[in-house]
Amino acid sequence: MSSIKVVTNILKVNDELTQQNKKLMNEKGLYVINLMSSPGSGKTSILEKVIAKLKDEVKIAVIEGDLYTTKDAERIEAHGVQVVQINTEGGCHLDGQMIRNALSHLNLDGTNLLIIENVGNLICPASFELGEDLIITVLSTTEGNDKPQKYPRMFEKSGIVILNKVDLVPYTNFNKDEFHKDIQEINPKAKIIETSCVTGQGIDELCSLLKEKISISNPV
Amino acid sequence: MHEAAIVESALELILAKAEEHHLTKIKRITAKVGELSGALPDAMQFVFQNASQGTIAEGSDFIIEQVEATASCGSCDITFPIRFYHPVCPSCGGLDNQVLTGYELYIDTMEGD
Ligand SMILES: [Zn+2]
Repeated sequence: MSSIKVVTNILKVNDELTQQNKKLMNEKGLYVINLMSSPGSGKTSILEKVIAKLKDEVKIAVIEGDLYTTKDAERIEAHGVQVVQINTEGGCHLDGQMIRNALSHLNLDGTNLLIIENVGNLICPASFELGEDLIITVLSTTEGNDKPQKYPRMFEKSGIVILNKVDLVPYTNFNKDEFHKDIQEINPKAKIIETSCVTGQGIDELCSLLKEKISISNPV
Repeated sequence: MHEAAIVESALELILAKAEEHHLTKIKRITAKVGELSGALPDAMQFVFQNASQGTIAEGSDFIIEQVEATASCGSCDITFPIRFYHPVCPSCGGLDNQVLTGYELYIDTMEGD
């Protein structure tokens, strides 16, 4: 019997692919956002608002992850930006191989911002790095304010946490004070932005913050 | 269930390592899995028993050692366990602490013939 010391990261294959993807993204001068949330939080709606507002100033491409459908990709495409759809066919997250395939279908010359819309799920996508510069997690007020405590990993890794559907707070039992306190404890560095796609609240703030981050990472 | 993807990666790694060392049968594997790694040991075990069937790792002991999550506070110079994912320093109440352990997700050792 032989005994072998292995000590190798289980996600090595994903990490290596992600490193290669990251290199390509850097060469193209891309600022990369990994956008995560649970299903139905409204992240595609936020993305549409952001694209509509930024697309004249920033050249945007989108990778759209979805379990089976192309609905979200069609919504994004209607705004006239490049979009590639990845169907995970039941897979609960995007990984390095999927991103590599998607990148090969995009013409990234002159593109400044790549937004990867991950599969709607608060647990699994947090385990797989995609070479992103920024993680944005969206939570909506109808989901309850206990989600950050229940699924802290994603919130812990986020640079921006968006609380969406704030216009619905009066009709829910969502406790905003507890939410802010929990995020502060899990991830004191996260910037929290409250948004509503109905009233437009927070969208300008989000867009200014993104523009600032893109220009810092990629000075003209 | 992302444990499926994690275990498939692990198995790929184990089988490659076995080939490198000319093993024909794997008997025991130990994995270190941190409390903050986002992978549940029970789910990993379940997936492993299925995914390893028909490979030289079938029937091996797949031992998952959980690693406690700890952090250190720079101001107080102490190390403490992280409870409920909140890295709050028990001494000064500070939040800006360095996570030391808990994110492990690796194959530590394997044995076989
Ligand atoms: Zn302290």
